[in-house]
Amino acid sequence: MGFLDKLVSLFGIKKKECRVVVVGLDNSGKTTILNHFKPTEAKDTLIVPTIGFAVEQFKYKNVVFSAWDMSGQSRYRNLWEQYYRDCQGIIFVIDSADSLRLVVAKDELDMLLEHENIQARHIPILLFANKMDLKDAMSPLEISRSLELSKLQLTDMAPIEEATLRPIVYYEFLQGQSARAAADISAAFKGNVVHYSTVSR
Amino acid sequence: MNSMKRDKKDEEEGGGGGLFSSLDKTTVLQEARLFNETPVNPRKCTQILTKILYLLMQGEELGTREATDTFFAMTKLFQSKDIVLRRMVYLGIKELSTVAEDVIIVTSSLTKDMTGKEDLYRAAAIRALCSITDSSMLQSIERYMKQAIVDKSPSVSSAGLVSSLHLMASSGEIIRRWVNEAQEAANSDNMLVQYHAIGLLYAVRKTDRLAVIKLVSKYTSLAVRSPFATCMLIRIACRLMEDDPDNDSTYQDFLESCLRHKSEMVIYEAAHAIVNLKRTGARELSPAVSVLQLFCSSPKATLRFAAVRTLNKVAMRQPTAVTACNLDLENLISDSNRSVATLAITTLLKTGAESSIDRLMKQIASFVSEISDEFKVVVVQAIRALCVKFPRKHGVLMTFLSSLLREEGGLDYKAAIADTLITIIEENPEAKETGLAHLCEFIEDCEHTALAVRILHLLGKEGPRTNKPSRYIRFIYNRVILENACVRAAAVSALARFGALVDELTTNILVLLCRCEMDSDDEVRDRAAYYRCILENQDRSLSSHFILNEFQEGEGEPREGMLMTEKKPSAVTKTRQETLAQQLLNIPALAALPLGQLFKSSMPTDLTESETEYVVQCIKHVFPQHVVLQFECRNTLPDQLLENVRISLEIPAGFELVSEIPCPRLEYNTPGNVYSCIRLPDDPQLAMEGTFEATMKFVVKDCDPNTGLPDSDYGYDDEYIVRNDPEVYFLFPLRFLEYFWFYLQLEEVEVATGDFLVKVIEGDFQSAWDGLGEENQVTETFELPYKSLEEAVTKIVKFLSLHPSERSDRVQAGKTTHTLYLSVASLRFLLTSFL
Ligand SMILES: Nc1nc2c(ncn2[C@@H]2O[C@H](COP(=O)(O)OP(=O)(O)O)[C@@H](O)[C@H]2O)c(=O)[nH]1
Ligand SMILES: [Mg+2]
Repeated sequence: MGFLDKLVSLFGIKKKECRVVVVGLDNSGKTTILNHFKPTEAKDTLIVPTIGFAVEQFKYKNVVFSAWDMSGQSRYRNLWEQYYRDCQGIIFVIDSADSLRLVVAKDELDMLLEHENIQARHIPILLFANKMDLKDAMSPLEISRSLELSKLQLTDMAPIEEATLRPIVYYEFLQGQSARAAADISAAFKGNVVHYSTVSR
Repeated sequence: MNSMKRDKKDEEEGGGGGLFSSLDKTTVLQEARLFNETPVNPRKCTQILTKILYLLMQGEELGTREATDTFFAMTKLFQSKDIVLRRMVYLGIKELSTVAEDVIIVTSSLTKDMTGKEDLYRAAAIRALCSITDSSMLQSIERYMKQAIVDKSPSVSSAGLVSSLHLMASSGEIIRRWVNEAQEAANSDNMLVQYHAIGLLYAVRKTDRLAVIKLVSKYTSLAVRSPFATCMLIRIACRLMEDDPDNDSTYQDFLESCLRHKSEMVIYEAAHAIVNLKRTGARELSPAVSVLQLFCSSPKATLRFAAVRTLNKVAMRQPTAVTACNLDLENLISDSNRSVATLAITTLLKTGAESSIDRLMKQIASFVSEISDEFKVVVVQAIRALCVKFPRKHGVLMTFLSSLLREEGGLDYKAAIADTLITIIEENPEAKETGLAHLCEFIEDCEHTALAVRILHLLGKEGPRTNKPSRYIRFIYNRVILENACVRAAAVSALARFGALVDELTTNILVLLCRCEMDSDDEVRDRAAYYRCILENQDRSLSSHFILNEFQEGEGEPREGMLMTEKKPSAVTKTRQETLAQQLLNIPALAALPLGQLFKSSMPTDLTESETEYVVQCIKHVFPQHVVLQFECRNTLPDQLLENVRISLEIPAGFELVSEIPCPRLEYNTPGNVYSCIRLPDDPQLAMEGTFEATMKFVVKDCDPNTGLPDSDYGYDDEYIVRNDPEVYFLFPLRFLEYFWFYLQLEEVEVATGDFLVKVIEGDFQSAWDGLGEENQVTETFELPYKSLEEAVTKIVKFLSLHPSERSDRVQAGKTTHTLYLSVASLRFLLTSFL
């Protein structure tokens, strides 16, 4: 099951709208990824750095997704949390070729995971290792090591519903994806990709 | 669109304003939490936003925290596609942009909307975007702004242009880069776009006169389509004409061509402009007045109003130019619009003949109670002008004015009436007693302190010279019993004047003053005691000097110790003159000279620009045969010590340098003086004028800014000498090899006629003048090169440095003769100028 399917399945048929916050360092490719979800005629040909945020909307399996494309520039990062509270999912995008700033990404991810509005709820988080097409891109394994994902306590794909008593973070780690290729994206979000793990902490 | 209709219906159902009655800020802000919910409920959120905006418009203020929270909650609404809600969000952003923090967070969302497909979003998004942008962010949206300015949708283009105009103040440099786009927009067929584009182009060039001239000539020759733009060009052209009176008549032609424009707005603007230009003469005026005359019979009330208001202005300065419109104006007296009627009547009052005054006044009286204060002031001003023009009519006019005084009205209005009465009293001796009687009656029931004080002052001044001064005492003393401290004090001063000027009343006044000494207010008691003390002396010169004169001085420099009643008044004041004289005497080298009595010391004049490193001021002390120039020097550099400071002067023929006293040391920020004593020429013709070129010479030593001690015993040596300061020239050692002299060119010192005359404040000019006797009077006729009486009076007063007596420096407009009384210490003038 892909990330979006997961979200859809979470709500069942009751809810028709879903809010997803897309975060990650600047230049990691957030806006580019979301651009793929727009209908062809509305796609931006030129992606410029985001200032603040922008909302993109698309429909998937009868659910309207509002994706909050946050700016990753340092001066805006502390504003991300303003949007955590009422979201139903988070996509954290990582630039796989930016090994230098991976520590910064790790800091931001840790802060996100520890945030009260995330800890208290169990919302699916997608870690998207982007820009895999670049030749100096790190492998998913290297990235997951650097992010110390193993420190998060792993459980196996436990359905969210069963784990209501403990705060749970669900995440998928997409590997080998690049926002450059539209096919990859749709595969990543819609298709049945291998997920790395599910964690709870 | 659907939602828009729906909302309208809801509102109607909701009924009259129920939603907004008794709104509470905290509750509304609580409700705003709803913004965070998914899915967004557009109808409810729109309503809450409306409430927030309503509160803000009512003047409610949000704290930074509250505003920021609300702002961020509001950003959540960007996920809704509801058009009305989104547009409310833009308004919310604009309102909160100045209070909330981190408002730039919506930048990308807004740029997305302004470039998006939804036309209803675009213009509003631009406006909101510009309200949250500062110059650092502007760079990143520059591309979108440029696109917006040339967008084919007029509303988008206008929004871009107007927003740019607003941003000019903070980010002028960036906006300047958009002129190409603005120029393209200026060719638009849309009237507003063209107007806004030319407006922006002007704002960008405003400081560059030449560029503005180019702009105006370009667009006036292009025959701009937009009437708004044409009106603006008219205004810019006028500004250019006023700035440069010698300008040729290009713009005049443009203005006159606008009088034939097909848009009424442009025609009016042009006429209004011509009327208000200072350079406009009778020839230029007549076509403008003609179009205004046409407007007088327009069916549109706004046009009639504009026309008659402008004609009213013209009538103040050039009544004859408006007489042609008298018939049209007569028709407007019965206009259903009261404002138009008032203006028509007051205009007629200015242009009409003496015979029509009674009729017009009756007509005004019939509706004066129906018009607003502002227009009542217009009426009063018209009456004031009439009194000057037809002095014989003062009876009718004053009765009318006093009836106005008795009615309700604000301070401005009442002050205008009182002013007019006062003018009449001053201008027309026949009207004096009636006028004073009206004013006495008015202050019995006047709620404006400032006005009461003025009138009491006037009573004190004019009352004692009337036939029966005693009748005013009761009115004045009533104030002492009934009014607030301010008015009471003024009343006491007025009483004192009666005591000083009318001998029969002195004893009575002393009794009244005695009573005033029991007053609860310090100032009132002090004044009463002071005046009583002077009056009891029965010394005319004393009371003339200390009771009558202080009125004349009025707002002038307050005399020290004026109210120190324990001391004998004559010993009280030590003037600036005396202080300066004492200072000079303290300098042994000057005291040794046979200078005699100090006649006058001038005010200091600057010989350097104020921001220079060394500042020099000059005070001229005039003695019978000498003038001592005192140069006060100041060193503003903490790391320098100046030594041996001298001022070398070029002495003009006839003058002779007697002595020079240099300043040995000039430390940082401690003023030091250099004196030059110059003997005046014996030939009295020459004594009046002399120009001294001055140069300051000094040695500079570097010193430690903390201690002020010089770094070495020597001044600058070679390698320090190269300085980029054009003001200070280095010359080779003159006297001592190790010293380097610096020369600083100063402004010239001028000794002129005014330095030899002293202003005297003379209480009663007429009696002082008469006291001089015939033998001391000379009558001469001068031809003066001045265009107007006002100019002549100010120039003469300034040139002679004399003090105008009896407020005779105020020239009544339109008169051809004027008497100016000036007092001088050694000689007295009566100048009568015929022009
Ligand atoms: N090579 C490569 N470049 C990418 C990929 N995704 C995004 N980019 C580029 O990375 C830059 C930053 O992308 P952007 O979406 O603005 O990043 P954001 O700041 O996270 O929104 C842009 O120049 C994109 O074209 C990818 O998968 N591969
Ligand atoms: Mg982005």
